[in-house]
Amino acid sequence: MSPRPPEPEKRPRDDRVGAALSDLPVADHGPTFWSDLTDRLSEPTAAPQPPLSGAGPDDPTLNPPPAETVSIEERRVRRAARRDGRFSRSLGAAAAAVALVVAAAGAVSVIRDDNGTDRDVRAADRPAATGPAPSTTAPVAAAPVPAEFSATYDGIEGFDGPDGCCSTYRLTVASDGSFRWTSTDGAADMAYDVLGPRHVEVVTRGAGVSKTRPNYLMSTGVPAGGPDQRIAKPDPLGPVADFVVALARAGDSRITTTTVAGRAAWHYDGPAVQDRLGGDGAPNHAVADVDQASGVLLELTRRVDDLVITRFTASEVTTSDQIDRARYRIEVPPGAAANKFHLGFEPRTLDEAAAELPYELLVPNQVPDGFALESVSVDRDVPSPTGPEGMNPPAMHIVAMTWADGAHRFTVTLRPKGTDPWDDPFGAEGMVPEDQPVRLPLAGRAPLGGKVVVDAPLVPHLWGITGDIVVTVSGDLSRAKLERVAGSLQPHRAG
Amino acid sequence: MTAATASPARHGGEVAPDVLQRAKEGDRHAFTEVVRHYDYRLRALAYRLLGDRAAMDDALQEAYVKAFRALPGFRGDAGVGTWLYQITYRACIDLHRRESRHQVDAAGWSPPDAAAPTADPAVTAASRTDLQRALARLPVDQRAAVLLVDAEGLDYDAAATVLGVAPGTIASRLSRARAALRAALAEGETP
Repeated sequence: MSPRPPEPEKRPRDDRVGAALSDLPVADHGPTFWSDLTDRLSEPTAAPQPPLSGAGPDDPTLNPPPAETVSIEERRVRRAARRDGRFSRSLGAAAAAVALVVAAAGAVSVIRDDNGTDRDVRAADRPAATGPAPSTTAPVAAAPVPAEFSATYDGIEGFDGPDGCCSTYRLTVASDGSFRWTSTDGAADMAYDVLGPRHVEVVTRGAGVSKTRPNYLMSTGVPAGGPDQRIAKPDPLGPVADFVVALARAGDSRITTTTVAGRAAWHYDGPAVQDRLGGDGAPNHAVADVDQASGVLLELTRRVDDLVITRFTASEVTTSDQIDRARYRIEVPPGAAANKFHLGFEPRTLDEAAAELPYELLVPNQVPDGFALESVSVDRDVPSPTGPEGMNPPAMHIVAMTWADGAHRFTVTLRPKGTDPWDDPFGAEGMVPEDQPVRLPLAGRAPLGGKVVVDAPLVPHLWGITGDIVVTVSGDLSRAKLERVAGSLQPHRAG
Repeated sequence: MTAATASPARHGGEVAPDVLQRAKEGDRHAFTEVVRHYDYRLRALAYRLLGDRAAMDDALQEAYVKAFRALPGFRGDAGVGTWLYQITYRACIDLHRRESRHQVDAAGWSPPDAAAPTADPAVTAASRTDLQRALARLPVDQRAAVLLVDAEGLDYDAAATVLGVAPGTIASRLSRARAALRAALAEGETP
């Protein structure tokens, strides 16, 4: 399904808007900007390179500058130096674009699972890789799902750690999806409580804040799943994990089994498409190990060719058969600085949702074995933009329905289409994932026409339009299961 | 948010060809002269996209270093200014994504000091503040489109080249962005 072309803007330039924008102030550079730049231009790695044969003149994508790749060791050195005042800059593009898209065209075709049930995953041949040696024979046994999974992670970027590069965090994830993510140096803390639903992030760096005077970012009304769950998540819960799990559960031959930190894991080692906004330093290869029981990343290495750009690893893994609910709540002290956001979603039953939505509530009548409806929430009055850079129409009257099977979840989201064109609600500019067109007949409704995407770093998903409703189905499901769920949507009957 | 200038002298046109040629040959001083020539325009884009001086400097450091390395391959079929806008935009997007989850401000953008003097007395401080807030609320790609076309005067094709999208996409983004900014201007001028 193709979005309608946008209405063209007739005026080449809006003089009034332009004059007002031009009048806005522009900051001067900091006092060391030019001296820093001179230093950087003098660095050996920044030396000009010979012209590229056949390079275009005006498009860095077509006319790529030599990659400014930054290794972990180099990053440590630079960050340590910056803390000492030698640099006043970030590491920038080379280290930034870490989105990983598994590239191979047609890759999703091999994960088709027509009977809708999981197959045992057997180890397969795979390219040579660093890290633990994978199993080559044993099928995956059903791993018991812990009520809580905890691990310590080294190599997490974002705040400088004691070694000048990365920080160490402790993650705890509950089987219901709640999580706690705390840096061991006390610089950062984050908690998400599914039962709130509430997400709190403690910010200790930035203008006007510190460890002793942190800022609290509190989001309430958070739906269980995407594309509306706009909260920060710990790196080990990134969508690459959903991608690996989806392939593993579909029996994809690119997934093998291994053991990491004493845990049975699914292993992926393969190509990744670079984020085109990230430049040549963006990773083009991913090695990911995902805990089979919890679906959490145990290790993730991002490389550009043979140069490691980022890597985090888990250790000290523990599990519990009980959920400590207090762990997932961070209280904002009285008088503390806090920014509060309400995303608008409120818990409902299916009957309640059907009664208040201005369109027909569609519910799948087929879900994979083991899945049960876990939550339903409706956003009636908070506009929710989605799509590449938020270009989709901001929608209200959204319903998000989540089904769970242990640590595995998928979410069906419906929103009114309106009159404006739509793009993939999970889309991100710069990312061009492999997608496959789908057209699914629905009982008593217009066919659901759309696309299915099983490509990291986006969570596996299907999106499309049927009549006046935009539909997404997302989660760690194979393409076949995404289509099966979406194709079984039918109007909800009260009671 | 400090050291903001409201009405600086702007450079116009392209840099002198001989300076550009020396920069392409690796002359760092010439390259610095090139980027200084375009610096105000690139600062305007980066600052209004990112809303923070330190972030602006970070993005421009990356952009300028990347440009220095890529300049030998620049054949000059298009303007070097457009090419620098493109590199700067991508550096800003990169930084924006990196930093957004650690921003204190909800939109990841704190409006600059609205009390800075204005060159146009018709634009009141109130409307400027409303405009800044409206600009901050726009998705970054819409922000970039309206800044490049309406503030910087690029045509649709050049803006499309900078942003790496089709001209029709520029039109669509402009439509949404202008509607929001016109509303903000009207609101700011209402007593």
